[in-house]
Amino acid sequence: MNVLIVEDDEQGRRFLCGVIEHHWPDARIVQAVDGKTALKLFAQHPPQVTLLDIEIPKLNGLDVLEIMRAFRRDSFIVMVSGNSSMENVKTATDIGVDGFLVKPFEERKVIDALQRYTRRHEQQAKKVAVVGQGKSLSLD
Amino acid sequence: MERTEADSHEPIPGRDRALSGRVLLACADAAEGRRLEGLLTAAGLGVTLTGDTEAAVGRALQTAFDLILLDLELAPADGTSAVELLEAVGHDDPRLALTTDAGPGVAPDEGFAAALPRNADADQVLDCLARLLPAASADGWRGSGRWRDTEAFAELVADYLGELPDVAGELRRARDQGDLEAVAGIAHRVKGTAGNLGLDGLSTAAATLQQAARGGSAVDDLPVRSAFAALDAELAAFGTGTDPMAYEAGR
Repeated sequence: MNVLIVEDDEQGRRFLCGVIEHHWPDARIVQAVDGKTALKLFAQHPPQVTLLDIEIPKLNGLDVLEIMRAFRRDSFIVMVSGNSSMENVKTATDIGVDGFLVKPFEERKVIDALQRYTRRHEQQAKKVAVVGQGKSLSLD
Repeated sequence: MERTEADSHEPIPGRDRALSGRVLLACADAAEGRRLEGLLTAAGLGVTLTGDTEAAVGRALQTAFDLILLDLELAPADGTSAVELLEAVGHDDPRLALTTDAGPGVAPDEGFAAALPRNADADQVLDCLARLLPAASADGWRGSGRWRDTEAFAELVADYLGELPDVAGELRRARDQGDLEAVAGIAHRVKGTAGNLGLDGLSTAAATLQQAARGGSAVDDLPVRSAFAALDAELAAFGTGTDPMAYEAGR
């Protein structure tokens, strides 16, 4: 699993990295501290999962989300924010997010979000397998 | 209004079911909220009580709960709107509606496993919860265990504690310059990081300061000064503070 963590606070990044590395030792993690770097890394190393802070320098996380969505609708993106207002969450869902974590959050919430990604990924893989099987049957 | 009771209690004597787990209780009526909080706590559950939709959504996105009891008549947005928003971000903790419109066992809308009438008696509430609560609590850990129990996590906490004097200094400079926006920004950061690291008292005090700074017009406003004093009390436990004179006096 390729993961992109976008967070300007060093301890915040270390916390997220620590949780993911502990529970998914094979995960490959890249990190960005601002919006511009996040988009560059998103293009260079397309992640399966992105954990994206809203309050980041250079380009707001919601703007970054909109650009990421314009290029890859299938990427699993979880917003992270210290602002828990419903308006803030609604803005993110209008653009299109797969999860939302409010700081401070529990380790378990990070795990739940990534498990939702792995479940979705497995379901999609099964669908592809079934479709592939159907095609080969019709060819026979 | 928000209180958290994480400690487990002995089950009510005579009851054969001991419930366990964590419940978010969002109730529009304060008295009813306190009654249910008491009942659930006595039944052995950890309860977080909130009185409005904003707080309920925020807590649901911070903490893993085994069950969420959501009053459909919450304000400012109703409980159904809160559920729609939670589902839009993939939130899937089981939910129970509190409503005047439905009898027990009836799900009033999509997004709820069941409904309870408001002012349901203790037996109705506990029967319903016994059916809905999972066997394993959201707080339970299997497999690789918690990262929070590792040395790497302890190291991260130690590093952060080592940085607290700098953070206190930043706050002090922002206050001395009368820069409320900077105070709110730094407090916002402390709230998130300290909370993630389990420094709950510090996180709560920082959240209060953030709120006071955002709502205040000057650093001398009483709520801002009080919030600074409360944060100083928390920082003093880690050997630092934003007020060196007060800190020195307290040593």
